[in-house]
Amino acid sequence: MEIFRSYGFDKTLFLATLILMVIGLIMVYSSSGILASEKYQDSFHFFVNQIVVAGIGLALIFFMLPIRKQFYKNFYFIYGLLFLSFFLLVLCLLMPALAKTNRWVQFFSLRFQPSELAKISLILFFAHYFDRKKEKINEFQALLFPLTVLLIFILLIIKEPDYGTALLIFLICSIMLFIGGVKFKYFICLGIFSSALFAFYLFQASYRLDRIIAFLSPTKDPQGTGFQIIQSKLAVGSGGLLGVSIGESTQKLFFLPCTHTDYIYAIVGEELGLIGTLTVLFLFLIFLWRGLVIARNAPNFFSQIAAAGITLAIFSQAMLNISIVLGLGPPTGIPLPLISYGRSSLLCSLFGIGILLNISQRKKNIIRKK
Amino acid sequence: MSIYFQKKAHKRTIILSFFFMLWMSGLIVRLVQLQVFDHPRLKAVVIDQNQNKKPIIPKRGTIYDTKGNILARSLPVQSVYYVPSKGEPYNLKLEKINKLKKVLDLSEIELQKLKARIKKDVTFIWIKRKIDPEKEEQLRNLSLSGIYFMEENKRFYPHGQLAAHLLGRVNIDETGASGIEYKYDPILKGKEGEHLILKDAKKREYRFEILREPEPGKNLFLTIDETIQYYTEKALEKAMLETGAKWGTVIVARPSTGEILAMANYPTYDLNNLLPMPTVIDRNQAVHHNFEPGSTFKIVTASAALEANRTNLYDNFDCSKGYIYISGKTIRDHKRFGVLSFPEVIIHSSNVGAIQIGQSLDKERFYRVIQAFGFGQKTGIDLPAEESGIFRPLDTWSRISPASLSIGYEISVTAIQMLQTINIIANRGVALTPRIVKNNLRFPNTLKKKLVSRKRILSKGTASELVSILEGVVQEGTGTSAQIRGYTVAGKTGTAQKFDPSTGRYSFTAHTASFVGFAPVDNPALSIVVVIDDPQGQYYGAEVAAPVFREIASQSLRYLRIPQQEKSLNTIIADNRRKQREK
Repeated sequence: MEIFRSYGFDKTLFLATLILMVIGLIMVYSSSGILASEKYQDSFHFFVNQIVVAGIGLALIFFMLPIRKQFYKNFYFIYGLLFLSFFLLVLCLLMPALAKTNRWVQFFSLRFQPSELAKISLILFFAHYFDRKKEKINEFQALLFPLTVLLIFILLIIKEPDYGTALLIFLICSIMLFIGGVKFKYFICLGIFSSALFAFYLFQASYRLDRIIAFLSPTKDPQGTGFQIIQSKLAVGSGGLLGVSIGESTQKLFFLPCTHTDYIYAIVGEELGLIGTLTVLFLFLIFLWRGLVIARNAPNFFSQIAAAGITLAIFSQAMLNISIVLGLGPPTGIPLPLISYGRSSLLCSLFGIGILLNISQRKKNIIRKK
Repeated sequence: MSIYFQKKAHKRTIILSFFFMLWMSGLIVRLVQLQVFDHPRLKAVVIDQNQNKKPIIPKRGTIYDTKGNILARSLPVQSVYYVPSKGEPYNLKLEKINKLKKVLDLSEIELQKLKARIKKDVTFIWIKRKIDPEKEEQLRNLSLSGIYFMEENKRFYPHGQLAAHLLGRVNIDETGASGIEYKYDPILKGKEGEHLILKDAKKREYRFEILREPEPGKNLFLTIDETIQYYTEKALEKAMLETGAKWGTVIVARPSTGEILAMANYPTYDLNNLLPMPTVIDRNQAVHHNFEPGSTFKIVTASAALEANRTNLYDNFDCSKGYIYISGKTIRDHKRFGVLSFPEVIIHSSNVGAIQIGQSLDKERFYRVIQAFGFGQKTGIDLPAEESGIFRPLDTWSRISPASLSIGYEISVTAIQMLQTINIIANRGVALTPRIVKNNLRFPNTLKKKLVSRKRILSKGTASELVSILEGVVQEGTGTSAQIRGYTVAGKTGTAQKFDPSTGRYSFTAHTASFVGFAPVDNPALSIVVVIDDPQGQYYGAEVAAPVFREIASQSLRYLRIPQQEKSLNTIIADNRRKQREK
């Protein structure tokens, strides 16, 4: 069967992750320092939070690496995780609203965003399910269960409300379905159904429509909904080739909102210029490349689509976030993986990468030799 | 079996990755577009919304009188402004404004404006600029949040209304708006500095940099003498109150240099407390107002006749009828004279005689002399808004024009032009450009232009003859009320009927009374022109204007320590001749 080689993990992917995280930490400090000192009288507030979670995440990875058993393939683990996500998402809605939304569960001073956990647990769940049902995957009855689970999750997240994340989760699961080998005709059905669903919720809240209108013509209301679209482009553009150098951004002085979370890439663009933005893109590309290599070399079907799913989920989320920052998509609150401030997001990303690295230690060709 | 699915999944993963990489290339194109091609434009927008360049107003130069007394200076005072904090409720803001209103005595109009600004959520609101120091202290004691002070310079005039028209006003940003302040604004103002303010999106300033230090304005020394100015204004005010005239103006000059020692207008205003006022009060009538001079212009007529050698001092003119017909018009004397000699015509200010003198001249010559005296042209005094008077060109003259002109009608002059006329006589025929700012040795660069030009207008002989005639006017003619004990005086009175545009005729009730003169006769230290517009009751120049001359000249001559001299050289010579003849 599988041969386990300790520390034979993919060091390039790990290094890319590490560099992205370091860039992230620097940029989180740079973009949140002023906000933090104004809000908490401590410019390191967000930075410290992020670095603690980064440490925990790295510890988690190093804890997961030497585990010989593929615990993440375990039925109880996967369904446990799935149920935990579900439970927390429901809990979210029961918790008192934070900033008019129910996106977080709070235990004492610890806050957690279950939708982040939902991403990784759904990827593992889909991988596990497809691995078991791979022969019957194109039968409607077989597809019904995972799609129902997906629908429940999406509805729960939309209720929070977090339209952007719901859309992202739908995208990630579609990727999983696609890799899993689902036929195109199901995709057409799925497309029609989901379009209707998302359109329904789109028209339910006027601010979502406003955002789309603002995206199509930001100059219509430059002080209102178009504000962050314009300011984000300004930030990126004003950086030029080399940027205004770290800490010198003027757009973070409340011209651009959410600079340490959704729009951190704009501050990267302003402070580090084209060099910085391309470096980040290049690192994500390396991540994609190594992730795909890991998936190709994965020892079994589950490992393969789980690895591909995790890689593509992180990469596509990055592409989405960057597209929004560059004014190519309507603004939705999606963080840039590994870089944006967000403890739940970072922790779950690192957990996923931990699984990816664990998979990377198991090679197919070694099996063949035996 | 598993291998089959793995291969299929791999294929599909590659397809997806290819799609994502396409997406990524799109992003790279977009990045290059924004960060390379659009960079200059976007950078400019960012700078624009983040930076603010403001001028630093330099300290304005001080204006001194000829003795170094301060006439106008800028001193630092505080200005109050309000930066409302975000989310401050409207009624709290109003409460604050009402507190400020009490301390600062804001008017209702100002209050309304402030309220409108608050409603609009303006982030910077001037409450009041340049407030008194004691009010500043009261405000600081209130210690209201969001209320700040900024040091600015305010123009102070230590003497309030002294030489108000001459000095002129400055606006709130210390830019000259009239008078000397306007004319010499580039010198007084200095060079503006510039500072850079960086602001965040909440309009809070977080960096303040001075890009360019301001250069303070240069000081200016005037030819004005504070004391003589004071005498002049006092005397003018007294006459104005006595006569109830509409307005009056007086200019005092030193003939030998063309320097203006005083220039007064009435009604006047307080420069430290500017109130809205009609432009008539604001104008410097001494250089701005055109009027028909009347008899004072006979100086020019006499000069022209003597210069042309058409008459001499011993010619006689028959004025016994008391009137003269000119092309169907009758011109009268104020009283009936007998046969008058040339000097006597001027001394007694006979219109009939003056017209006969004028008639002896050919038109062209008369025209040229009037022009030579500078009528119809600006004198070139360094004050703004100078008028050039109205002097019709020769080809538009009518048949009665020479006669009208000989007695000072059909021509409009300014007070400064009349001063120039008397200065030419006082200087024995030489014209000097009048001026108000001294060429200062300490600041040679401040005044590059050559301000003074010397030009001979009359021959020395003609001028001397006129001096003795004008001395006669004061000694025994119409100007006796201009006599000063201990000093010799020469001058000429003038009483002109004002043209009434509503009837198209000369009024019998509205007059312009004037007097031009200088003293002492031999070595003139002062020349003065007095113009009183529309005096009520007494209206003759001799009665209204000449006493003003006497009052100013007698005080100023003593102040200037001009040695007394009972008789002029001319008188002594004439007396001696008479004595010899009698022997």
